[in-house]
Parts: sequence; C-alpha cells; structure tokens
Amino acid sequence: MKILICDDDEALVSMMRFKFTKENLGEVVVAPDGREAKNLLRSTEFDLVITDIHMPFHSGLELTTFIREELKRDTPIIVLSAEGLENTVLQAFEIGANDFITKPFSPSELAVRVKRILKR
Amino acid sequence: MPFFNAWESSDRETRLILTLAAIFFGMAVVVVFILLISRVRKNAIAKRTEALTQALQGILNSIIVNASVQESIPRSAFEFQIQQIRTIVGKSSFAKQLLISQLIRLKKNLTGTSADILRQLYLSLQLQQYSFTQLRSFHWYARARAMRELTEMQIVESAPLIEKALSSRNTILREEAFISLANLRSTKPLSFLDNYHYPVTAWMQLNAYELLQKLDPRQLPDFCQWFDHPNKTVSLFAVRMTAQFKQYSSATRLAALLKDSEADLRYAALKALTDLEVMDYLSDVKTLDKEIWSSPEYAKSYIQYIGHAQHPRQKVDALEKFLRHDDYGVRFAAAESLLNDESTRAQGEDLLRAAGEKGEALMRHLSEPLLK
Amino acid sequence: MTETALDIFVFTANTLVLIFAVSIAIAYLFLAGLSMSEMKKYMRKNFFVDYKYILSSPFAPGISLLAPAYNEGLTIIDNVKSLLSIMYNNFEVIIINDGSKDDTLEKMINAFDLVKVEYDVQYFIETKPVRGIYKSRNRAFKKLTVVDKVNGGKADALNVGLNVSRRDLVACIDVDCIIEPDALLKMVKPFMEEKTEVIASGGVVRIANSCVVEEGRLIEVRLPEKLIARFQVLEYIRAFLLGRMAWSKLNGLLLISGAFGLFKRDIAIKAGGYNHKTVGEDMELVVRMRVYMHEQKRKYKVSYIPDPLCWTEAPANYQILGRQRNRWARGTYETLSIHRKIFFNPRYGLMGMLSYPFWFFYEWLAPFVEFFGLLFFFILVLLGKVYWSFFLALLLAVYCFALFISMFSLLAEEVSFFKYTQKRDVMKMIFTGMIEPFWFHPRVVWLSLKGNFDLWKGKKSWGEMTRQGFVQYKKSPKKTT
Repeated sequence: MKILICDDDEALVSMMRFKFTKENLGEVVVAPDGREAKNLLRSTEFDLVITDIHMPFHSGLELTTFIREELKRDTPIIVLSAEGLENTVLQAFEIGANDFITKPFSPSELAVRVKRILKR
Repeated sequence: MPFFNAWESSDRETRLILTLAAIFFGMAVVVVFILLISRVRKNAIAKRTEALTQALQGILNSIIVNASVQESIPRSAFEFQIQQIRTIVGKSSFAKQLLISQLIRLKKNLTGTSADILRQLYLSLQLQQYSFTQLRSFHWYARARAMRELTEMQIVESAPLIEKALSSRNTILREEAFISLANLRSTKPLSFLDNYHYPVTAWMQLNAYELLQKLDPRQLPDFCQWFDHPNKTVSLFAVRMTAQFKQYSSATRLAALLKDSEADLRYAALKALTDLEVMDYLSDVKTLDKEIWSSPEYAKSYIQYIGHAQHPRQKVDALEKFLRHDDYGVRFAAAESLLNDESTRAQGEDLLRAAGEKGEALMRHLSEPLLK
Repeated sequence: MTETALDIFVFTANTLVLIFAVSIAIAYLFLAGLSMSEMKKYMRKNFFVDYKYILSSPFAPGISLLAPAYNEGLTIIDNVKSLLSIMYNNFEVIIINDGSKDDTLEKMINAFDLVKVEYDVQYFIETKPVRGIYKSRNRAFKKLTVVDKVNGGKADALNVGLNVSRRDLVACIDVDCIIEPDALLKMVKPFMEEKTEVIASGGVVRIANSCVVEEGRLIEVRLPEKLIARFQVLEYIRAFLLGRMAWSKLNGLLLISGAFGLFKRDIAIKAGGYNHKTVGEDMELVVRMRVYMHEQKRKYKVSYIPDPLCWTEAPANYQILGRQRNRWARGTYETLSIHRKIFFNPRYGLMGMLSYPFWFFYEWLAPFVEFFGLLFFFILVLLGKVYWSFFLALLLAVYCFALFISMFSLLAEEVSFFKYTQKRDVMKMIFTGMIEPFWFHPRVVWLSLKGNFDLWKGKKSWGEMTRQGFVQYKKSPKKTT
C-alpha cells in the first residue's frame, strides 16, 4: 500500500507519517507542496492520496482535478482543510474527493478512515 | 600626501562637505556591516531551528501517537520522553520558544486526546512559566506573543494579567489582549467587555468569533447584555454575535434597538433580525421605511427581511416600490427576492416586464442558472 | 556690470540647487527612518497573526479580482489558473478581454468550458460596450467570470470590471503579474483593523526576472542575472520599502502600483473610476479617490503593507525601459496637472500640503534640476568659474549619501522579508548599489526628461496621444525562464 500525503505543515505531516507507519497502513510518501505532489503522482501510482487544500504552487482542489481529469485515475482522495465552509466541502466532493476532513482533526479518527478506504 | 595637502589648503565649506561625505560613507559602511552580520546570524538561526525542530518532532510524534493508541499512557514512558525533551531544550530560551511554537502549531491542527496531550506536555515542561515571564517582558511584542500562547493552551490563571493589558497605551497590545480574553474559557466569558472603552475593530471581531465558535454554544454568554453598552463598537459587536450564534431569545431586544438613536445600531439590529429570520417584528421594521429608502445598504437588508415574510401579497406590496429605486443594487435585491420565491415569482415577472427593457434584462440575469 | 549680473545669477542658482539638495536629503532621511520603524512594528505585529482565520470567516469582505487582458493568448490559461488558486474564500476572478486581436478569448472558452450568460451589465462608469459575459459550466471554475468588450485600453477595461463586480472590494491587477497566494489575505487585513475607513491598500511589487516560474506560479526567487534588472530591483526596494511605508504612516500615499492594488469599489465608482485619458491611471485614481473623500469631508486612509505580494517582469533592455519610464514620467505629469488645485491647498490636508508638493518637487521636478544643474556646471567649466576642490567634495558627498540610502534600503529588505537569501546575492546587491549612481541613474533621469519632452510635443496632437498610450499598455513580451 502506498500513501501520498501532501501538506506544507511539516510537523503535522511528520506526525501523520509516524502514525501510519506505526499502524502498518503502508508506505508513506510526503510532498511538501502541490508541485512536488504532481511530479510524484505522474511517476507513481498511489493507493491513497491525502491532501491539504492550501499549499504552495497548487491547491489540493487543483490536485484532485489533476488526478481525476488529467491522469484519469480513481485513486481515493481525502481532502484536509482548515476551512470547512459548506461551499468548499461541496466543491471538493463534486470534483471527485472521496472524503473531507476539517482541521483540527483527531489522528486516530483519520487512521480509521484511511483503514476503511484502503480495505475496499 | 596629496590628500592632506588638499585638506590643509581647502576652505571651510569644502571641509564641511568632505566631513559630511565621510559621515555618510561611514554610515553606509556601518549599515553594510549590520546587513552582513544579520545575514550570517539569520542563517545560523535557521540551521539551529531546523536541527532542533527535527530532534523535538520525533519525540512529539511518539508521545502523541502512543497517547492516542492506548487509553492510559505508561507513566514511566511519558516521564522518559519528557526528560528527553528537557535535555534537548536545556535552559535556552530560544529552544523553549521554538518548542512552544511547535506545540501550538500542532495543537491548532489536532483535536481530542492528541490536543489534550499537547497541553499536558506544555504544563509538564513548565513552559507556562516561560510564557508568564514573557508576559512581564519589557517588549510589547513579547507580551503579545505570550498572551497568544497562554490563550492557545487555555491557561485560565493568566486572565487577570492579560486583563491589565486591556488598558495599555499600545493599541496592538490592547487588541491582542481583547482577542486573547475572548478565547480564554472562564466561568463568565467576555465579562471583560463590561469595562472596555476602546474601539472594537472588524479584525478583533473576526478573531474573537473564530475562537468563540469553538466553544460549546451553551457556554456562550447572552450577547444582549451589551446591547446598551456605552461603547458603541461593543454594542455592534454584541449585535453581530447575537445573529452569528442564533440567540433567538434576544430577538425582542434587537427589535427594541430598531428605535435606537444611533443609525449604525439600528442598521445592525435590522441585519441581525434578518439573519435570524424572525418575522414577528415586521411592523417595527416597517416604521423605518423612510430611513431605509435613503441608504442602499439599509434597503438591501430590509428587502431581505421582507423576503422572509409569509404572505405573498404583503411581500409584493412592500417590495414593489424598491423595483423603482435609484440604486441598481437595491432594484436587483428586490427583484431577486421576488423571483426566487415561488409564490411571488409570477407577480415579480409581471412587474419587471412592465418596467420595460431594463426590467427584462434584470429578469434574464436572475433566471440564468450559471449566475446563481 | 555683466560680470556682477552673472555672479548674482550663479550665486542664486547655486543657492537654489543647494536648498533643493539639502531639503531632498533631509526628506529622504526622514522617510527612510520612519519607514524602518514602521516596518519593524509591522513585522512584530504580524509575527503571530493567523491569516487563515480570514479564510473561513463570515466577516471577511468579498473581493473581485479584476484583470484586464489584451493579446495574452500565450500565457492566459496559466495566468487565470494561478489567479483562481489564490487563497481567499469570498472572492471571484473577473478577466476582462479588452478586444484582443489574438485568440485570448477562444483559449479561455475552450480551457474553462465557458458559455455566454445573460448578465445584466450596468454602466455606472461610462465605458466601451461589453460584447458578452461568460461563465464556466464546470464547477471547479465557479469563481471565474470572463468579460469580452470592445477595445478601449487598460483604464477602460478596469472600469468595465468595476461595473461588473458586485463585491465590496476590488483588486486590480496586471494579468501577467504573479500574485503570491496569500496576497489577498494580507491586503485585506488593513481594511478590517483600521478605525478609519480604508479606501485602498497596496503592497510591494518585486521583480521576477530570472526567477523560476511554472504555470504562472513563482517557484523559486532568484536575483536577476542582468545588471539592468538588478538596478531595478534596488530601485523597487528603495521605493517600496523606504518611501511608501512612511507615506502610508503619514497617510499621504498617492500611488498604489497598477500591478496590484485593492480598492473600495463604491468609492472608486463614485470618484469616477479610472481615467482613460492618462497613461498614469493607477496614480490618478488614488489621487481622485482621495480628493473625493476630502470633498465629502469623510475620514479615510490609504493603507500599505510591506509584504512582497506581486512579482512582475521588469524591462530587460534600455529600449523597453525607455518606453516604460517615458510612460511613468507622462503619467506623473498628467496626474499632477489634472489635480493641480490641491497644490499647497490646506483643504486637502496632508495630501495638499506635503504629498503633492513632494511629488511635484522631488519626483517630477528632480530630473530637470539634475539635468539643468549639470548643464549649468558645464557652462561654469567653460567660463572657468568652477571651484574644483569644492565641486569634487560635493560630488563625493552626494555619492556617499546615495550609497547610504541604497544600503539602508537593503537593510530594510533584510529585516523584513529577505527574499534573496544567499550571501553571494547580498554582495551582488551591495555592488549594484555602489555603481548605480553613475551607471543607471543618469539614464533614468534622461528617460524621464524625454518623457516630459514627448508630452510637451504630443500636446499638439492629443488624439494621437491616447492611442499611443494604449499601444504601450501591453508590456514587454514575456521571456520568463
């Protein structure tokens, strides 16, 4: 199992990576910005993508559109965001996100959701 | 020594000018010197930050993750990790500050046990003492930062100290104190507002609201207690919060504000009643009819309020004249309100058609699905 | 007899030039000091601010981003995508296609799945007619509106944007600029935190030459390779960090760069929108909005923040630079001339008593003083009246002063955002500052004199002038690496 985490918050990413590794969810690859994420996505197939909305260079929503429209992949995508405004959530789902988690979140809850998606 | 000869033979003015040149040159050299030192220092700080962050992050990860896996953390493991952090941080205030920022950044993104454990860490490492020392610092920015830290970690005991800053001569400090106090959980939240004499800006409201909405709604105070505060900006803030937090019980008090002597407050009250969608005060609102006509902003709010009215007849009667208002925004709002309601659409369309080409254009715009 | 007359003339001219030089030096020192202290305060104040609160807040004002586009077919898609990805919630992007002769509009229609909608366009400000308004059928581009209009120039296009927008604030930008993703969050803060009404706010514009740009986004900041661009980097740092910061503190700011500014829409419309008769429409609008507020007797503020929010390609050769400076000189003169009634007019407060005179004497007049001073000097040389040791000492003093101001501006950059992090780059910039006074500065003076001369010549054929102004509205072709 390969998981891509895209977020520019190093501390949070490091924590998530530690959590996932500890729970044996699979190999975790980290992209600190949207550009790096795009490059990784082009070269590798992932089983799950977790992305923040606000990142340098490309937003999480752009990344979602990129995976669905350009790469034509149905990789599960979980969108993370500090702003859980109705409009943003709806837009995320409409362009193809599988789940939406509002920051602040509980790492355990995230792990459970990830497990459920990976089992499918 | 040609230069000295020149200096000796020169007159007073030339010497003065040369001295000036030397002063400027000296200043330029000093500035360049500071610039280069600052560059070197900043690079060193960046390196140190990087190394410290890395070292601390590893331990923090394991503390947070272990805490969320097991119900209770083995005390000894936790103690050991705390000791590890203590060793890394030592007595350095730079490292302490960095650790606090790191804890706060993580805490902002996490909830549940993970957030609790971060607060527990802050306390166990006695970092609140550091923040308290900073709170008494000579520098206003250090005090402001300490306030944010103590608030973020919910150290309620800091409230009396922060409250002192509310009357500071430094505007930024005052505003920061306001924001902090609005977020400290206490038995009487926002009680400091009673004696607040300075303006409450939109920025302060935004910050206060952001953090108030994280509170349990039952803990929120009744904002109507500040409706007739001597400080108008506090009253305005209270009115807005009443609407944001849907405190329906204050609707009567809001309606009373419609007769207030301050135009700003009357307008804010109308907006709040509109947001709350309480229609019981239609007659009170209608008394403002004349005043509303002269202010487009006011009129739009009024139109929105009427828009919630139950009786189509009533609504059409009240809104019809606004379709002939001078301000386009007002005409637009009135038309929108009529067309978006099934019960009034037909009448609205008739009225717009009667208004000629302009009305028709407005109607086409409003029925365009992509513009909704 | 003639001897004494000449002596009197020489003495008067000397004294006047001296007064001018001393006053300008004092003014610059004062502005530099004030800017530095303001900047430090700003950095400290915003160190712990969480701008992300603005993102999800219902209290954040709505913003329309207005970007006029003329023959931008090559880069338009990337530019629009980059604008759409700006961090802000309550905002929309309005691209105004100003009758492009290339495929700008078609490209947008195809890339964003646009369809024409029945938008009820209002002409609050009189403009060239709008041909159509387009919206996307794809929800991912919900925030995009494209306006197609008959060609009328940048000012006219921005006015159409003002007419079409329905939000409280409008951000006017050049479509080929690179806007930092958090630019709106930072720019909007002054509108919320000031006690007086803020009618406009501006930020720092920086030079993007040699920076790495991909899909309309800034990937890596680099110091320009070409010397001509480095001079402009220094010039921009000086103007934006040392000058405007202080003017904003005094509330006397007259210019918000046309590359990126945020305005209150209703005030901009009530003041009459952009003036399409001048090539300095950005400055002219700010002055007119200020005049409007004074005449309405309303308290207001024009705010400014020192964050680098917008990156633009600077002219990379002297020919294009010449055109740009020519335009700036004409724009300055036209604005000052349109609003000449505020010159030392106490009715307009600090703007009339300080800002306008400052612009008049030290921005517009300074090149003339420098040029005629030099001319005068040569005459004196011919007449053998030059007191060489004094002259050389003076020259040295002026040079040292210029050097000090440049170094101080580099320090201001260092304490604020230090975009060029490498020590090598800092050394390069110091060197640039050392040679600028005799390498770059004389050319700039010459170019702005030429601008004024063209203006004087062009006055006889005003009609052609406006057309010429428009041709130059399209900037240099982009050669971004």
